[in-house]
Amino acid sequence: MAYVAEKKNPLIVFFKYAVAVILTLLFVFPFYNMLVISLNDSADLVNGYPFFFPRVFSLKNYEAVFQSPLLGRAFLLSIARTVLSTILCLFFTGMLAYVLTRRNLLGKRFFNMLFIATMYVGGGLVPTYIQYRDLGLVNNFLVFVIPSALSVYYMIVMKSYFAGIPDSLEDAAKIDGCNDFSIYVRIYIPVSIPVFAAIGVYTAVGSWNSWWDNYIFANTQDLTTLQLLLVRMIKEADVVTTMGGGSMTNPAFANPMGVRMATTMVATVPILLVYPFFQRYFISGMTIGAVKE
Amino acid sequence: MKAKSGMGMQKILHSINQNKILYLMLIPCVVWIVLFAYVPMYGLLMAFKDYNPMLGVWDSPWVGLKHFEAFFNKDFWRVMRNTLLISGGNLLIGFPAPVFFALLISSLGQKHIRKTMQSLSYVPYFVSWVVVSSMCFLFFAPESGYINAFLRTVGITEGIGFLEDGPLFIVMMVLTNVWKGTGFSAIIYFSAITGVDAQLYEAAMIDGATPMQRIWHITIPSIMPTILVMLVLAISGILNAGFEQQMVMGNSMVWDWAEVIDTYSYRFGLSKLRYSYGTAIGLFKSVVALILLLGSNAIVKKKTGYSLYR
Repeated sequence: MAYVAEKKNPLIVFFKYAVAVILTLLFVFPFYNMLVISLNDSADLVNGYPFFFPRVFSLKNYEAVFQSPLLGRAFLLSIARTVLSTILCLFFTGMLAYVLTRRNLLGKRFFNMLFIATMYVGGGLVPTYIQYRDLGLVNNFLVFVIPSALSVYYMIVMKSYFAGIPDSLEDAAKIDGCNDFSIYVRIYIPVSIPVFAAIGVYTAVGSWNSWWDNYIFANTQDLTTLQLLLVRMIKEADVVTTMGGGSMTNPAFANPMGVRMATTMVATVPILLVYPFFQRYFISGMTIGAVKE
Repeated sequence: MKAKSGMGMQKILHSINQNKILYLMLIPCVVWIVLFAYVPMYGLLMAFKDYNPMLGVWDSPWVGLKHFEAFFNKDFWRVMRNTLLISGGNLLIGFPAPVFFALLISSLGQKHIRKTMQSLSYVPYFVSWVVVSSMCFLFFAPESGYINAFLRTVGITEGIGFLEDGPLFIVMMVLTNVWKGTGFSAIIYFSAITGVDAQLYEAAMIDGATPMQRIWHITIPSIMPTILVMLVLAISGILNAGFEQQMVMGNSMVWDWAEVIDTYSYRFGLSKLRYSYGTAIGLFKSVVALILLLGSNAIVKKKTGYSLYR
C-alpha cells in the first residue's frame, strides 16, 4: 500500500475543528439550557433565564410537575402507547414480510402490489378521520396502536433482510414439524433481531413523540398523553389550569417557564436515556433500508 | 403468474391448502390494509360530492369540481405561497446542509471526535416538535427570549418578532427544520462516504491532489448517486411543508404565513367540518406529489441513469 505523508496546514485543521465544534454545540446546547432553566428557582426567572448554570438552584419545578394530577396519567399513557404500538407494529409487519418472502405462495405478486400501492396513493386526512370514526377509534385508546400496527415501508425493509436468510433454515424446521407461523416466531424473529431492533427504535420514538394523532383523534382529558399535555402548556398561558389545578400555592407557578421546561425535560429524558443503547440500531436501520432499495 | 396458467383448479386448491397457515397469517394484514388504506381511498369520492354524514359517502350528492374551484378561487395562492416558501427554503438550505456536514465531519482526523460529533448531531431528530417549539420560546420569544434580551442590552429596545412576524416566521420554520434534520439526514451521506474506495484517494495523493481537490473530484462524484436519490425524494415531497411544526409553533399573528396545504386541509376539513372541501385539498396534494415523484425520478434517470425504481 502506497502511503504518502502529507503536510497539513494547521490553520485549516484548526478552522475545521472549530466549525465542527460550534455546529455540534448548536445541536445539543439547547437541551442543556432547558435542563438548567428547569432546575432554576421559578420566581428568579423574572431576572432573565440562566444560560450555563442555575442561578438559584431549586427542584420546585419538578415537584410541581410530579404533583400534577394529569401528568402521571399522561406519562403512563405515553409509555403504554409506545410499548404496545411498537410490539404490534414489529409483530405484524414482520409477519407480512415473512409471508411475502415465501417461495411457493400463490398470488404473491398480487398481494405485494396490494400493499405497496398504498405507499403512493392514500386517502388523506379527512377520509381517514371518517373511517376511524366509523370504526369507533375516535376518542379511543386503540387509535394510538391499531392504525400503526402495520407499516408498508418497514415491511419492505424487513423483506430485504429476510431475503438474506437461507431457505434451508425453513426447510429443516418443516422437517421437524414446524408450521409457517412457528417458523416465523421461533426462527425468523430471533435471527432478525438487528432489523427488528432498528425498526422498533423508529416506531417507539415516533409513538412517544406523536401528539397530533392525540390532538385530532382523541382530544379528551382522559386520553391526553405527555406530548399533548406539553402542547397545551405551550399554547395556553395559564399553566396552573393546564396542569389540572394541583397545588396552586406551589411557588413553582410564579413563572410558567420553569414548569414548562421541567415538563419538556420529562418528555425528552426517556428518549435521551435509551438513545446511547439504540444508536447503533437506528444507524443500521437507515443503511439496511438504503442499501437494498 | 404466466407459468401457472396451465395449472388446473385442482392444483391451485392444493397449493392453497399446502400453504393455508401462510394465508391465515396474511388475513389480518389484508384486513388492516383494506380498513386503513383502501376504505379511506374510497372516501376520496367525497372530494366530488357534498358529504353528508347522515347519508354516507355513496349517497351524498355529486357536485363535480365545485370544491376544487372554491379552493383555486379563494385561498390557493396564499396557501401555495407559504407551502412553496417553506419547502423551497427547506430544499435550498436543508438539502445541502447534511452533505456539507457529512463532508466536514468525515474530514476530521480524530476518529473518536468524529464519532462523538456524529452521534450528538442526531439528537434533535429524536425529540418531538413540541419540545423544539418549547425550546424556541427560550431563544426567540419577544420579551424574554435570549436574542431579544441580548439586543436590549446592546441598546436595541425594539425587539424582533421572530415568532410574531409572518415572513420572519417562515424563516424560523426553515431554520428549526434544518436544525432538527441535518444530523440525521447526514447519516446516509456518512455511510456513502465511508464506502468510497480508499485506493482512489491514495492514487490521487500520489498525483499530488490537495484535500479540497480530492473531495471535489473523488468524494462528491462517488456519493452522487446517493445525493440524487435523496434529491428525487426531496423534490417529490415539496408539498410536505410540515404540519406538526406549524400546528404547534404557529399562532394567530402569523397564521396568514404559517398556513400550509396540510394544515389548511385539516383546519377546513375537520375543524370547520367541511369534510368534502378538506378531502378535495388532500386529493389535490397527493396527485401533485405523485406527479412530482414520477417526474423528478424520470428526469434524474434520463440525465444520469440512476433511478429509485428498477
